[in-house]
Amino acid sequence: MTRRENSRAQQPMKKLILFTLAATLMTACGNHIPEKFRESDELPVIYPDYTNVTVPINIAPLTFQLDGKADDVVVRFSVGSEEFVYGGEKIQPDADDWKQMAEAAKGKSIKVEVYVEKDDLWTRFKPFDIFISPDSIDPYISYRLISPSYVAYEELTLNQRCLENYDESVIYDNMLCSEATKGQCVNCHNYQQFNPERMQFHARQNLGGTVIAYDGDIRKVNLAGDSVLSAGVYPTWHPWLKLIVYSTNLTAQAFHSVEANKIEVFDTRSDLIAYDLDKNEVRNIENDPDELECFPFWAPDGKWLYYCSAHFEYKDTIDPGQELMMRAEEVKYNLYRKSFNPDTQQFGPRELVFAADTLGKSATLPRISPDGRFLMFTLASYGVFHIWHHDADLWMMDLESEEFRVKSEESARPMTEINSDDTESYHSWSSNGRWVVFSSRRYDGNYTRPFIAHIDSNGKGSKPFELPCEDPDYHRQFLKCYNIPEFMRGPVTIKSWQFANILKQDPQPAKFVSK
Amino acid sequence: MKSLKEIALRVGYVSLWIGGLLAIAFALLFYEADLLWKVQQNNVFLDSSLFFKQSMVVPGGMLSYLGGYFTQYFYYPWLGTLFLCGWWWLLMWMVKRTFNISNRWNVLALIPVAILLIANMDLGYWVYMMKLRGYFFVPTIGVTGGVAMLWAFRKVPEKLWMRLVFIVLATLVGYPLMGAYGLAAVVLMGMMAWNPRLMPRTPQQKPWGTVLLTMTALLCAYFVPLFFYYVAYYETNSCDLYRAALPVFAVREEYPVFYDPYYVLAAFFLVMTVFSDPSLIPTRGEETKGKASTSNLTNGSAKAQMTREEKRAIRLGKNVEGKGKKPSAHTVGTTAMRWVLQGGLVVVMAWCVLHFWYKDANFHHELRMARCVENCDWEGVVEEGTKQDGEPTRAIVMMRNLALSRLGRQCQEMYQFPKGSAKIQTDLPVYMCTIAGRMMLYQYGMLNECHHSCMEEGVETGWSVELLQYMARCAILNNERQAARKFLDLLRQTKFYADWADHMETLLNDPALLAKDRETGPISRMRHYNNRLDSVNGYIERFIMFSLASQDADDLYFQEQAVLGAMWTRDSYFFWPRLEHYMELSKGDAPRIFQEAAWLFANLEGMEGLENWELESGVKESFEGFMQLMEQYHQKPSQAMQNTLLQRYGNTYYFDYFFLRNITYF
Repeated sequence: MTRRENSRAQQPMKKLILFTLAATLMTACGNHIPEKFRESDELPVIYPDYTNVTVPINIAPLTFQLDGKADDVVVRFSVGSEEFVYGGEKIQPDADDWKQMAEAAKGKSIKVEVYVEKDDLWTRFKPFDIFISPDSIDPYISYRLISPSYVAYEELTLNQRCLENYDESVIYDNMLCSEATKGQCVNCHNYQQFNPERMQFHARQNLGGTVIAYDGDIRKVNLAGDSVLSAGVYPTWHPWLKLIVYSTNLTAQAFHSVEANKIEVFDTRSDLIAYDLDKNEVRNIENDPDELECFPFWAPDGKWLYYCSAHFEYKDTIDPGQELMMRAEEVKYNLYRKSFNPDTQQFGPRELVFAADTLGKSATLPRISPDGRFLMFTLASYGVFHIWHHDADLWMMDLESEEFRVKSEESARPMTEINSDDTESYHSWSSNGRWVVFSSRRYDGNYTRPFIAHIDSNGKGSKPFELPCEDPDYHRQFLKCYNIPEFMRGPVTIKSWQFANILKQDPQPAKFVSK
Repeated sequence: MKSLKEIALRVGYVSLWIGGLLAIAFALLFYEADLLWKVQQNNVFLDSSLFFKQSMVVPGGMLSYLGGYFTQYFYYPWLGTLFLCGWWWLLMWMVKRTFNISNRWNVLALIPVAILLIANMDLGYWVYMMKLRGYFFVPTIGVTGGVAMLWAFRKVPEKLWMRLVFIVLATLVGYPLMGAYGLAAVVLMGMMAWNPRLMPRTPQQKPWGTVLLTMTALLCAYFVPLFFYYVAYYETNSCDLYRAALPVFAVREEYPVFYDPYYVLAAFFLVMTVFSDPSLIPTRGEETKGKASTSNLTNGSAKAQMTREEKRAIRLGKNVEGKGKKPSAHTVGTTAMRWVLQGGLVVVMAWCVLHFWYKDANFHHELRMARCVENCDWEGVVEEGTKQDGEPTRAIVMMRNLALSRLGRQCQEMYQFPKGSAKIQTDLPVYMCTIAGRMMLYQYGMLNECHHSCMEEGVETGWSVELLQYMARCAILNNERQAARKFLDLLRQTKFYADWADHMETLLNDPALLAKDRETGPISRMRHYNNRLDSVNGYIERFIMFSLASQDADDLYFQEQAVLGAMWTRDSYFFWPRLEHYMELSKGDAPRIFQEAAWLFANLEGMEGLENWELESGVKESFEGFMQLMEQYHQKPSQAMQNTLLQRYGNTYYFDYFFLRNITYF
């Protein structure tokens, strides 16, 4: 039996000496399972909620803390005959211990027993399991860290985080190109097939442009022009071609004075464009003025382009922004797809995939699993920017099911196993299709956190777990949102100053072609 | 053992510092206590590792971290002032040591303190928009740290290679910790090498050694920030590398004038470094000694031969050679001249401090009122309102009216105070929304808008105690429990707001208590707005008043505000329905100003049957009198006539309706 002691109270640097002394003393005292305790039939209330979650074999140790006051906490992790005991305010398993446990519990579970002392009385809560899936997860995710603000922005970073440990680094920080009176915004990072060597993101305002990195070549292009609605916004890389499809959007926002949703973000117009990297050419794909096309996504076979679109006809009596604001709840997006011939690079007509409006709903963010079978999307009662809608949930369609062929709406179902009472929105499949990382505001309704869920071969999800952090309280203290979590096969190795150097150059204007 | 005379002499010399700091502390505490309190409200220091890490991602992050730490003590202005004066004492002591200032010229050490005081007290409305956390302490700590580096440099053994190594190490450590202050200290090291009085050359040291020291310092100051840019920092624009940890005086445009104290400070230290003489401006007797010392000091061995007593004598500025002798008339004259010079310096410093100190009356009224509002001290707000001499800003008017409404006296007294919309006395883009925007949105129950405002502000200028408090308050009143808990937990990491957080958590858990609490109770009664998609766009007063004017509620407290909002719009379309509902709720009672408004609108609209209206005595008569005077001047009276109207009818809605309708709502 292995018995380890742990005291991991996070202390500021200035208390380093005290901390060291305290840690030494506590280590000397040790954490022991109490001999006398009362049993509770309830699961312990811990943060993050890791009770009965399924995690990949290669995930970083899950750290957590009791969600409430206690005099002391001791936790026993056990796999077979092996036991690891940790104690203190924050339960932070050692990386080596965790790896040992995960290997031993591969395809099974780690049993977790939580003992809590209050007023000299110990309670043993109902044990829970952490299921260790043999399906591994891509080692990295990237995301944008942004305050849940509306108009103002200051510091925005594109970050990457190793899922196998807690290492986090900055891919690019907008402050590198921001000046006191000229700020810069960055958004919409995207990769070709999880490849960190092939990525793109946009910079807006000061030194704006789209930065595209492709196998060591980094360039800054300007996709805006008279013949397109705007510069490219929401991107999707073709799985193998040097072709990126974007939506182009004229976006506006308004504020709910009383509603819990607080803000409404909408497009007054939007289209789809395609950008050819080699030729530096951009062309319109969809630009019907009565359609609001958005969130394109390539199917992994490269032969279908999925996207969402809302039919909206302006009455042209008032300003379009005002009208759309007044009729915001009428805007319902359906899911569509267009065929694509990779050889000729020609698109076919659109096909309806999911008529959300028939359910009185609005569907956005279509994402196809790497095996091409499942379509996951976000559904809410109206609109396009669902991260601000508390009713937004994740839904799934089986594209190979009989229901899909007969009546596609009936093949869709809410992912109740991973949804919460609050917002679920952006989502991204792992490269092996067994994991999904998605944005959720389930803890406080304001701050988006990445959650990861296992999806089995039948499209059934397991209870999701929040991105583990070294300090379990980190996400409660952190005042930024995780925006657009995307899996990557490895880290982006281009330095942030290299991106800054590129951004400080003039952009290469893309040529518009009408074909 | 020191003689009594010597002790008295030393105390005498230090008394200048003590006197200076006491005068500063007195001025800060008696005239700027509300400002100091506001400075800490707009600051935050969290006792967490995350906060520390977040502070350290930029060069000079340690300064900001320490600055934030000390700023929190302004929660009790006297305590923060004590720390500030403590730092200044340390700075003066370091300056004296570093530049070998003799006791009789202690006044020189007061100069950087005076400049730093000006750098803080000339800021005025920057208090609402300064991005540098802990800015009230950062320059002081930065300069003290920089001077300490210089002092340490002087203490490096007199070996060229050791001095070179020290410069490199000092840059590598000083820049990440202190940013521009560290770099400035390194540059001064390079300059100091040319001052043999401060940096005795080694007997072997050739002039090229001095050149090497200077070149090393300059190259380090240039390249070390670049080194950190490429390997460590990802958040600092390359063009900002050399001014890291300095405040940014730019909003929509730059305000370079606020950097002036920093330039003066730099010039002071440059002069001190290059020209400083250990026996500054010696007496005649000292002159000989000083010269001897100076020449000897260039020779390390000679310096070593100086006795301890001689060194102390130089520090004390005593006339060693003339010891025991009766001072000559010439010496007395020189001493007198010295005192005159020092006195002159003190006077100049005092004048500069007073001249550059931001003294705008409305600025101070606003600060006082905001502090009273925070404490629900409504009488305090009204009392401050009575001190108003000139035209008030809209923030003052709104805070005063808010306090009157909380006291149940708004309809009776709101027109009895000075009126208007004074332009805010600053070149900065400061508006009413900057000063009291979120406060008003919160107090009027517009929680989403308050949340919105706080979020924008937090992103733009960084999080502060005040913003976290408002975020927590909004979440509590919106019953967003987890969000509230998040902000309350953050406030628990501060030194002085944990009790506040505990109190608010009890309100979160007890709706009955929330409805009765002296702060949240009235706000609960204001939450009757219908949802709409809109945006404040900075026009806080207009937004609140139009929202109120468009809404009825079955709460008399709210409805009174709705009628007042309608009166503010001067639009009878809003007024009549609001008044009608008010009358239903109040069972026919209406305050006099409501009657005045009704009578005014009814007359302007030419309603029939007005003769049957029963109004409070004087309402109709004052209207008649007011309108007659207006008619005389064809609705456009001169300023003198306006003043007459103000004196006679200033406490009526009539005056408000006609003369405040076109004011600019800054």
